Amino acid sequence: MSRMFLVAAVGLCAACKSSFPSDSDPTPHLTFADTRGFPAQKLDGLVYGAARWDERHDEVFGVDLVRTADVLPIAMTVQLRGAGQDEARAWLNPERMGAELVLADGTTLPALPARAVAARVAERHGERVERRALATGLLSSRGEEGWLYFDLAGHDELDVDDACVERSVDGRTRRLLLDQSLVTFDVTLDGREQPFCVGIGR
Amino acid sequence: MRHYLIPLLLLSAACSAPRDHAEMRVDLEHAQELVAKRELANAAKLLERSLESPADAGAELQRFHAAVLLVRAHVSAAFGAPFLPSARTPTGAAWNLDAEEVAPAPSQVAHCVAALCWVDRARRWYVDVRAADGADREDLLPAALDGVAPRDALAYVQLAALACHARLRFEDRVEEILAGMDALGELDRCDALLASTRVEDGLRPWIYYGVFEHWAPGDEPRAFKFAVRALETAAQAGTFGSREHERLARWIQHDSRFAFRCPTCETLADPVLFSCSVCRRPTLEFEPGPRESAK
Repeated sequence: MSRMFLVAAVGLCAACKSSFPSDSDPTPHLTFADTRGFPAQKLDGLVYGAARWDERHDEVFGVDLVRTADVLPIAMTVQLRGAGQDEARAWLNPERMGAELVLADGTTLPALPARAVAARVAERHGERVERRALATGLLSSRGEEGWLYFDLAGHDELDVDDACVERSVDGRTRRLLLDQSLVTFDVTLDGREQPFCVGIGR
Repeated sequence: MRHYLIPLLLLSAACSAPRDHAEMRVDLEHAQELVAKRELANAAKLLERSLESPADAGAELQRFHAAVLLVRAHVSAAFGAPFLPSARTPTGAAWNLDAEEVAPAPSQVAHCVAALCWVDRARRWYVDVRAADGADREDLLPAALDGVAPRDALAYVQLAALACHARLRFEDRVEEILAGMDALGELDRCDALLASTRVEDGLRPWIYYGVFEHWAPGDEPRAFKFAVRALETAAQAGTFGSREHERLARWIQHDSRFAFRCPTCETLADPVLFSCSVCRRPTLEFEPGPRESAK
């Protein structure tokens, strides 16, 4: 008789798990799929920034950084625009810019130095990772697109699929679209740190 | 054997049945108490877990208010006591750049992003709430929420969104919200709206600042009132940005085309003082005049 209850209990537990949202059946309430994202480019004072996720970034680096290095690469453009840009002393200080990616539920991912990402992939790919990293130093009106690399490894419950970060919380899966996420960092302007943030386009 | 039956039935009910109205009502009541006690992390966790569970089909009003409470929890944290960790240290470096183990600082921005996510959700669910108007509110909401009209709750949500977008400096989004809220055009109506929707003190300077930026290019006398109110509320709340504070002070003293003076003694407005240094007349009553004649 007690075995019957044991079987019933196991069955109930299995039913319990399957009733919760899974990757294939996310709860509509927390897919965050229909919330509005942030502008993927912004002019804040003299600083212009744009960010985009490229699903085909493996063609740039020769390797899928998400799968191979647990890294989310975001292409960034940071430059100066507008009156006074030539006189401004604005720069990205790699030691103090503190770039991070904020997901829609408030989870933050830190940026990794390019050399740390390069160490996670084959040498020939690592060279590209370092070469294509967002240039730091003095900003000008000619800032070229470069990449920031955000670390997924610190969150073992994260996965990335189709411009969407999936986060497991208490056994349930949240689908957090990159469209609704922000990249933030500090620009050093005239000796002072000034926060900047921008949404992520495609 | 019967001893097993009851826990098994309870387990079954907890796992597979949708949360019914009574359970959601209890969650809302508890969450609101937690928000009031500033136990914001626990409130957010309870509400998120509650909304992640399968919901009863008739729970539109409840999930709308749950989303509003989540907005309240996250903005209270953003402009008061943040609990979501940042990935950077208090010195600004990404924490894994450093060899030393330094605790990450809490992130205002993370809370603004999370709050805005729930703002969108509340806006969408508000449509369902209006469609289901006439439901028996007493059975659905705890007493403290029963008296809150969904329209007022939505106004609060819009104000919270305004504050978050102003904090993140997405000016276009601030403009969009202002375009839909006529009450924010006049200072006294704005004050009344913030009071009636019980906007937290920490949000207020950001809301007034957002409205100030809207009026500054075209209506400087009106913008002045919002600038003064932003500085006043910032002094009380202590959660304003230094960059925004400097912008307002500089605008009052230099950038505005007008000099704002006390109508009684003609003393110039001082962004640090909220009443005339000579006659104590409130700075809000100061009047614009030509800057070239400023003393």
